[in-house]
Amino acid sequence: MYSRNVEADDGTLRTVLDFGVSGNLWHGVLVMYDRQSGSFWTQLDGRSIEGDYAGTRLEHVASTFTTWERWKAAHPDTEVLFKPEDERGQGESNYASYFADPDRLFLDRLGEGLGGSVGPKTTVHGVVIGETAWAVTEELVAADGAVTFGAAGELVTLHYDPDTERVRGVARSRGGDDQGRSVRVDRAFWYAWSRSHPGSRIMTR
Amino acid sequence: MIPHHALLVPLALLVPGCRGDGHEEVEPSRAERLAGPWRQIEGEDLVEVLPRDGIPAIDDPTYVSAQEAEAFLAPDEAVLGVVGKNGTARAYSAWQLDRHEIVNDDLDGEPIAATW
Repeated sequence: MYSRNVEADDGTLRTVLDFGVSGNLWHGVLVMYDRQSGSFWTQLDGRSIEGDYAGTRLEHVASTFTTWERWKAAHPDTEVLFKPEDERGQGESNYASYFADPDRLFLDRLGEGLGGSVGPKTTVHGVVIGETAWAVTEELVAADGAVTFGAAGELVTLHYDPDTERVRGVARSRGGDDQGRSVRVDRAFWYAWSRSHPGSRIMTR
Repeated sequence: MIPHHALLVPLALLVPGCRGDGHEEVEPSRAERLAGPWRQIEGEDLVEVLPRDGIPAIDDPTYVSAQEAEAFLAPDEAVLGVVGKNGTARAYSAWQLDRHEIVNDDLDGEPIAATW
């Protein structure tokens, strides 16, 4: 989240910018543009990468990426963004459409919970077992060396190699003697993994 | 018009910082076939995947209370939350940030771009 204020060199307010989605990706991340000058800004760190404002950085605004129940518990008087045009129909079925949308992003807290430790740009290692996608944060698998969880009747272990910083996955049947089969592990930002695997579970420290 | 979901393909493939064998790294020529024309800024590919404003940012945000939001937010649903300098708390669901990417907002007198 960024401030839309742009300061002049002497620290005074220069202007306030309005941002739109350019439709481009840079470093695989969304590129914004400001409507005042058309300059490009990377969503990655709020820096202008091209145009009149090239080199200028937007100031970060502290924000928290968490679950609704945690945010509401901490801020019972919170406002929540709601745009009526996002509804797909009329009447009570509007809300049903929210719950039915497969693009909804859920955070499945396993273990001690997320706190503020998982954000859109958190690096995760993801696997798909059967019809369920699982992501394990790099922080967790690097710290523990190996993370094991049950999925679709199997035990899945992700092994972290500190020399190569790569993660390999092995799935084996519960209670079985088999060596297990290799499973594909993808390294990605959490937001990219969860968008291509809606409903993915996530494990973190 | 290219649907929003077209973004899912390049986002899923462009893995951050990956180098070395075994990791999926998209070659520029492949990115071009997937997502249209590209050029480079600072040595990194700028990939054009949608027309400008193909994803509409929100310019006039409206809000409901926490109680009203209960009707459409699940307890374990992801939200991005922020608190203004006067203590106003505001939450944006990841679902809506996914649809709009940017919300041009004002919080306690400070203009902010809610994005993730």
